[in-house]
Amino acid sequence: MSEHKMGHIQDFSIYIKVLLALIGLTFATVLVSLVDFGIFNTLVALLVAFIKASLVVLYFMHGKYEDRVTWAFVYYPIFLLMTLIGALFLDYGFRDHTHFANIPQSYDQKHPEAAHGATTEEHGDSHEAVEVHSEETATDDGHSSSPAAAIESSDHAAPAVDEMIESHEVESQTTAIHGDIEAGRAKAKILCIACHKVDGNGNELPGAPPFAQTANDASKTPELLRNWIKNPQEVKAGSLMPNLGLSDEEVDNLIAYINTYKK
Amino acid sequence: MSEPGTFFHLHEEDPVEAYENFKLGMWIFLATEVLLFGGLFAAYFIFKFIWPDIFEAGSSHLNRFLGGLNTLVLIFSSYFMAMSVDAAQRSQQKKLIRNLALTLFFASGFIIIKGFEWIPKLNHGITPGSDVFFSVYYMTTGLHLLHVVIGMSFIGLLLKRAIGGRYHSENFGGVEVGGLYWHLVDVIWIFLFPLLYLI
Repeated sequence: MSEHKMGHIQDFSIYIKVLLALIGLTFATVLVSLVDFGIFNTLVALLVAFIKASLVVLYFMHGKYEDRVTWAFVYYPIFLLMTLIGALFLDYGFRDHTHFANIPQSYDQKHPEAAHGATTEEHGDSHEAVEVHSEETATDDGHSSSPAAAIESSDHAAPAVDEMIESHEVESQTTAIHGDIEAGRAKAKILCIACHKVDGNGNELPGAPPFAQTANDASKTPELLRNWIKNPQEVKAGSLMPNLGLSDEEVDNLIAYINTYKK
Repeated sequence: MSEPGTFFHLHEEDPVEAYENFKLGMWIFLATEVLLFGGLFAAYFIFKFIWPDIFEAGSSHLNRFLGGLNTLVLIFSSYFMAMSVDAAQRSQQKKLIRNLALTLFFASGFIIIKGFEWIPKLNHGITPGSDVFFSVYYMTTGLHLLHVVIGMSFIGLLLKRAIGGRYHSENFGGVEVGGLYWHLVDVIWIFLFPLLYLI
């Protein structure tokens, strides 16, 4: 046997004292979290966790009796981790992250929308029927090939318009716009925001007109916008606007959202 | 002095030196474990800094009671692991077996409670893809759970060997090194609990 002995036998009572301290600190961290320290909440929680972790390392792991080489391997990863987190905060802390292209949504934000979407889907079906009916009326009357223009000038379709406005609470005066504004807004915040400003956030790249301009341009009929969003290259070859691969319903929602910019 | 198959038998080393190196090896490995979880902790702090409202909304979905209970369960498990090492150091065979069994018992409790947290959430449609908070939540607690399972299999092995009478006051390195790993699993949870559940 060598001169120094193997390991270190701690006094038996130390373990039970540490156990009681850890239980006490667990309750302390829960209680302390009920008090709002503002930006110091995280710091207080980390401080309590650090004390608990130190007790485990010192007494349960016998760190108290370890040599300097072992402790170097305790400090070393902590130092590296601090460097990583510190450098990340130096980077992100000085960025304007409100202009990130993709602003993620929380589960709560997505969820009520999913429930809302289910109810509007039923509405959507009935409106489709309304729209088909009014479109037929318009073409029968031979007023115009554009359903939007047709409805505005057609007396036949007026009741249908009323019905739609009533049930859908859309301020728009055209039957062609029957998408869900909120669903459209949500989609725009994910997709369009990379090149167009959405609710004041996002980029405004050259060649990507603001929504307000599009919405107030009478030549941009809903029908044209629908074809445009569905396949921009077919409408204008070489356009920077990408084909987003959206469904008819999603396109309608986007058009409804863009229409809210109409003055 | 050592039984066949122990680490001490494979080297022409002084047993105490071998024991010290065995432990140091585990401490070095634990340093890499801290960095493995450290990357996720960094992600947590940055995402929380950028999107505080998503983290607040997500955190409110977690059950503080179950999280706190699991913290206590893991602390007890850690305590009995420390007591196992102590029993091995004092050549208390029966106490060693009992303490290792209790360590495993509390570890199983942790997994069961975790199941009561995860399964209703997943059934409710809260998945790792739900939002940035739940990505971090499932990734950190999932990686931690994996460590619990690995730790339990080591403790099971220690228990089997302890029943075979392998450990005593001059050969307890295995129990101590297994314990070091198990305590790190506890330390990680000590940090995860307040960060995910409380703030």
